[in-house]
Amino acid sequence: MNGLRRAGSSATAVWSLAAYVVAVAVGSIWLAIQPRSWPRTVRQVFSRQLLFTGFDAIALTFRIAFAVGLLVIVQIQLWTQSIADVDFSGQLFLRIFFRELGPLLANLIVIIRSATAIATEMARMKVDGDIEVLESQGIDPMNYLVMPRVLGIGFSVFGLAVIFIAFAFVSAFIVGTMIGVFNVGPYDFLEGIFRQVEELDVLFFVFKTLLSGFLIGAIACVTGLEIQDRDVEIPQIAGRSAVRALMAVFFIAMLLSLSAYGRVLIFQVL
Amino acid sequence: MSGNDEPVLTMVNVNATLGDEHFMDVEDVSFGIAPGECMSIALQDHRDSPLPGFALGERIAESTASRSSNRAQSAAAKSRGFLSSETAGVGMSGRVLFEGVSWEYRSTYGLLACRGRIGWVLSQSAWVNNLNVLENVLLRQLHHTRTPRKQLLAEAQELAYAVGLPEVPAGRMGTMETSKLRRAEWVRAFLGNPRLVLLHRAFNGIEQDHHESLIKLVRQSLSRGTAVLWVASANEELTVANRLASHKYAMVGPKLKPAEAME
Repeated sequence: MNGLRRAGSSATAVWSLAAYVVAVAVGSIWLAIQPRSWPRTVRQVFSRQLLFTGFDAIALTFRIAFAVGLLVIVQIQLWTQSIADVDFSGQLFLRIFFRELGPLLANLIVIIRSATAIATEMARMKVDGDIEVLESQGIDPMNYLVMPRVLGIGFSVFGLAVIFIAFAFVSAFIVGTMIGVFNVGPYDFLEGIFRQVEELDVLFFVFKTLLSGFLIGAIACVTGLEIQDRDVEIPQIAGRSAVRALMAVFFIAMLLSLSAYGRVLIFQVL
Repeated sequence: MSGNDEPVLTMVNVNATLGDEHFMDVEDVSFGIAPGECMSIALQDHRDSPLPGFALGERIAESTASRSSNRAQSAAAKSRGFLSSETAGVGMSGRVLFEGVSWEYRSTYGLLACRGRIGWVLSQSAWVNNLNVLENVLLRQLHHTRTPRKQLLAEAQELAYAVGLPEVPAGRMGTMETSKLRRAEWVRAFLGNPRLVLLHRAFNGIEQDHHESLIKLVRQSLSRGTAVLWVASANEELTVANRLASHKYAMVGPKLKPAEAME
């Protein structure tokens, strides 16, 4: 009976946290569409967030995209030796990079580099009393701290996913050509990919990256601001926000794959 | 006093039984401060007065979702001289009006905008730690006004000279000496010609050599129509506040009494 009670209360806690995170993300978007929520101080926080989360992560995204492109093409060579059919290679790369790996790895990069930092920063601001200082100057922390970070992370995930996919294609093509997997030119290779892209794929990609990015931002802020005890919790906050963000990313990926394609990974569900 | 005599800050029968070791209780406090007026309140208690917090609308009108109550935030608030979420609002009654409107009737945006017109120096230093001193000094004005940054910088520079700083410090708070930081708080409080300035043991951490320049700053601001509420302990700061005040009061226990009655 106790076990059941514990399971019930932990399920309730997870549900209320998820509802709170979604409320913060939606609230941020709602604030963002109101022009009065964008005084120059907020614009500055937003642009700094884009710089730190998006721009500063481009080099790392290049490196990871190159490595992933290389790994995928090497695996393909091990299995198939070479791909003569550009439509097949297009479909393969579209599914691997565009639908799954691009958004997922962009999310991971942002979680590791920024979500943990934001959660720690928020926690420190709360225990140092900075939130009171802002409010006492008439500055709404939701508007000044949370909203620009949520949006900054969302747009950064989208941008980094685009960069990741582009560079993974380039890397896969260069390495694939070098080791003899492809015997087509770059134009045919790209055309083979773009021929496979459907409207649903583009919609899925945009929605998936933005949604998961907004939720990562909201999770980082909520986790940081829920701190109770300075000495005990600050070191744990980063890890806790990363775990929560990862869970959210996988859950969204599963949910969106299911609703857009009726499948989760390779498994046909609907 | 300036042309418009409607009080900038009014408290009507404010009672607060906070039961807190950081803040004193208040009982049946009523007063009004018109533009260009200074009101001094003498404190005999070592604890802080909650009146500046009430003047800012803290706890009387909850503004944002982030005001959730927890131990970390309460401790942080108290350490900065703000009312904590655990204590404030408990046993609180009465009305506090800013520019004639009670805080509790203001919308969230209205409340935030009003706070943007109030400068304050509280008993403890209060900064946003992930910004440097200059960014902190300019923050309220940059957020609430469209005054060009260049103009704000020039005004801040002028105020900095006035309080004996060679410039508005651009470094981090941790690297600066207390006196400079406290004077930078004065610059922040008076920047942008605020409607109301709340001073609460505002000489804490500032050497006596600089007091005269701070008094001059208050005097200039009063002449421009700013209302000032100055809460001070019975020391040199109170003597100074009384020199400028048109209304002199003292807290006798939780009650506010005219200072003349005490003499």
